[in-house]
Amino acid sequence: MNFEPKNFINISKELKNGKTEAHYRSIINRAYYGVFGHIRKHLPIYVTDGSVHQEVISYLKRSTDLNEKKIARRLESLFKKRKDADYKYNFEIKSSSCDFAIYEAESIIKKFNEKDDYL
Amino acid sequence: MINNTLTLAEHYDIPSNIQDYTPEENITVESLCLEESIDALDYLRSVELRRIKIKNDLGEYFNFENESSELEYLENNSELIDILPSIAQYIKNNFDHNAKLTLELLNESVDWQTLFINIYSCTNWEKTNYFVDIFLENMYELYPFIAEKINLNVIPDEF
Repeated sequence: MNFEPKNFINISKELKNGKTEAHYRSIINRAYYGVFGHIRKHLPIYVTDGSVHQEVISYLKRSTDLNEKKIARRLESLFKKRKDADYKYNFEIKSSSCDFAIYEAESIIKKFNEKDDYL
Repeated sequence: MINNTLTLAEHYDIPSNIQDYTPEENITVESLCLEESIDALDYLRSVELRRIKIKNDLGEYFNFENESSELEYLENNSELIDILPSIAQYIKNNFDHNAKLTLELLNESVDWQTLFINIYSCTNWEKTNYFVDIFLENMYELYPFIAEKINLNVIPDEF
């Protein structure tokens, strides 16, 4: 059995049926992990200690390919949104931020898949 | 006794009038601590002045989410200070004239620090993708060194 992490994005979409802020925060969390997991799965990254998030983003940042650098930046931005959604309770998350997170996650995956070096 | 003292003075090259020789008079533990304290105060004062200047230079364009973190990062990456106002103008002219901009440091580790420009905007989220893409492309082409240190975080439909 080989799990496809990008299926987490489907969970994000299902969570859109919920209308509480807890749903909104969870939508952003799952959207991030969907795209992060998809990319991680296709990169030659093995982390024994330290942050695997940092390793994935740094790997793409170090690339000489401009598209991969841009993917790194957009993934980093979604990482920040996920952290804010998980830990910052002093500002309100709106449903539009959830639509944006899902759209962004799918868009990053699409861009990553365009380059078939890793697939 | 006097003769012995003179002989010692010649031998060790110290003043012959031993009563006038007080080499330790100005160097005490207390005075050394005071000097260190003054140096520390001077350093803190210069840091404070530098941070006030950064706030003055950028305050017109950005608010700070956690002031001390961002100011410290900007102090250590001072090349960003000159270009950030131009970036703010670029965002206002090409994305949303009424956007509210803040700076926020993502500080995950020593090797992973990124200065985020948060863009609180009333612009629809579907329009942000294109803008961010073009922005990143321009930054990597024109200022690759700067592009490594900053990022955008659009918070759409905010007003």
